[in-house]
Amino acid sequence: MAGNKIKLQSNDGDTFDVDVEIAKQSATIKTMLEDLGMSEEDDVIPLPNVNSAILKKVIQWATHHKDDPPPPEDDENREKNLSDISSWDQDFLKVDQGTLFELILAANYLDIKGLLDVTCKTVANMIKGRTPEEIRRQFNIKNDFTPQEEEQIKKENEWCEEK
Amino acid sequence: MNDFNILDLPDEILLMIFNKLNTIDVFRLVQYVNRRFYELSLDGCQVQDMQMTTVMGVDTHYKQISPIDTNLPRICRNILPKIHDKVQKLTVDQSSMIPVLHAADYPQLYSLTIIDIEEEFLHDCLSNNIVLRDLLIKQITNLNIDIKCRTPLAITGFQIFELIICLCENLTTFNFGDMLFSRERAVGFPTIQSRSYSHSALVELRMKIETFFDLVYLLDGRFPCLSTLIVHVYDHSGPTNLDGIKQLSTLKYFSLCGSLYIPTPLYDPLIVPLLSGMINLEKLQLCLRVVRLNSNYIDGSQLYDQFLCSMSKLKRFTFDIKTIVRNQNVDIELSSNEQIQRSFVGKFDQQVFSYINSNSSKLTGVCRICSLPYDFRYFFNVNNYFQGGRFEKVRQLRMKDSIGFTYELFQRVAQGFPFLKYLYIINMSAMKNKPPGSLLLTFPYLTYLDIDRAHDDYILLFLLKKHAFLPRLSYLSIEKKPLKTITNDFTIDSTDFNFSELKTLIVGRSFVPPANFHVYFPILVMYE
Repeated sequence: MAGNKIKLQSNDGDTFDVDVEIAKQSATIKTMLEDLGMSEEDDVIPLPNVNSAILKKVIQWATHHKDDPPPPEDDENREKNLSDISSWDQDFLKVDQGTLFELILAANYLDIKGLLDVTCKTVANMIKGRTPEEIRRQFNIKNDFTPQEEEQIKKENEWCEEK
Repeated sequence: MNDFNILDLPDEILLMIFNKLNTIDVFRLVQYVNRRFYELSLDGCQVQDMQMTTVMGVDTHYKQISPIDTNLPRICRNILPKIHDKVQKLTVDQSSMIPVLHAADYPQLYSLTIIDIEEEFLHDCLSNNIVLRDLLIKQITNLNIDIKCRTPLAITGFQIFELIICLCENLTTFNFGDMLFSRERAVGFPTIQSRSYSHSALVELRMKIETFFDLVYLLDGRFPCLSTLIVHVYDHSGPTNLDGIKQLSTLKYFSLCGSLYIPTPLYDPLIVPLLSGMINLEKLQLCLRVVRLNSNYIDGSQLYDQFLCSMSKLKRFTFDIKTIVRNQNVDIELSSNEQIQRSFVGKFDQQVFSYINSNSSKLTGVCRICSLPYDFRYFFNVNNYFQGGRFEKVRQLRMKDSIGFTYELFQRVAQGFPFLKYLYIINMSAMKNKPPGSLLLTFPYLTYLDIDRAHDDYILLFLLKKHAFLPRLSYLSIEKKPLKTITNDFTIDSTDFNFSELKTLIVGRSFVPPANFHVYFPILVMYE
């Protein structure tokens, strides 16, 4: 492997040449390179949990964010802010739900905190402010409560509909 | 397109998503979607640390009422009784505290955080509410209190402080009013009528106090096990000796931040002797503005000889010390920057940043020394002398000068302060050079921008999208005249400006918004 590039291989066999510094945004890959003794000279780093289309998106995200400072560890800011997604990330994540969920899984497997954070926030934004029925429709989720449970839920949930 | 469904995500990721939502949204809506969501929402991890607050954005200078406000009684009736025995940490505010605490008992609760509460209300609850008093007496070991600063002090802070200390026998960690950077309310203890009590469990105390007299109060032996003390002292007044201070040797971590505006004359008579007595310190943090008469700048040799040499266990020392020297008819040669730098050689492991104000004369001068990496959340009075560096911990920055800033200074600031949240620009002189068209200043975390005492050049630099990228800007303070000028009386395309995320606009009471105001500020919550 030449220079400061490494090859990442998706589970469907495609390989991608990626700058080492970009790839190291993934703590998983960073560990492989630094702690487990893998070197840039090794042929390829296999990523058995990520397919080619998703890996391509992940690399696109990591490339755009390569110069980002690490996210601040703000002890004073415990408030949950769902509105702080940059416009680039918002555009990047205008994808179908399946792709979004696969990106979440990839970010989790590759341990890319920034990508995991922004994808989870995107899903949270899709949930926020919706009624249970709207959430079911949004994500194609079946209501699997029994009729008795449903009755109890209705009772507890009456106040949700009042808003 | 693929057919991957949200239910294909493992529980740990669904919990991550739920954690991005307000706890109340999860209880109110999400849990009724299906059986799996219901079980996850009651998962121990999800409810161990519960934020039951009705206000959001306390620290971002705007407030929104969350859904809990209207549904609180029902949540308390239907949800809390199901999860009460799993809750270990709880955050409440003035509206939610009593209903939530009365909804159930919380046998595992040990950490209580109360935010955005008025002093009178808190004092009343501490005096009369049996449930709160019982929790504090029997269970709470960690307590964080954030008091809102709206009214003049009727019930004084020290009464609340003393009430809590006397109630909470098990308290080990106490943050009293130092949760949010934006809060400036400090507690002052009376020197004459102060109560005599002691608390033998308290290990860590963090608070904002009025004077150095209050520091003496905290260190007079009433907290014999105190090992961590983090204080901000707002006023420079205080005693000129250590009389009354009995307890210094138990401290392992001491952080002292003085007034950012008024320099203290108490460095030599009080602060140095105080520090010399802290012989078991392992961590020391000093942020001080010091005024000295007939003396020289504080340098590395003085720091070492005066107190560091007696701290044999010290592992970490970080500082930002500014010395203002005023000499009168005394033949003292003020140190040069090179001499200041040399004074640290061999005594300190870390890099030290220093500068001497070039306007300094033989009799007066200003010198600033800071350890690097910089360890404080604010950085003041940056001007063209700022040569750069990495200040990742800084959240608040004030840029001030009477001479015009250069564009390059802003570039250095953008690179040097990547996590900046609050920026104040005070400079009515025109910028020395124009911004190049191709470059963009980026402040990815900036939420608060105060430019009401800034020249139009800086206003344009920050508010035009072609010059600056401010994706999180939610608060703007600006004079109405430049606002009208830069928008050409609200006729220029609104998308040219960094206004889209603004929730608060401070523009002066006489401002009359134009008809198309909302086009420029689509999500504004308040303006005044």
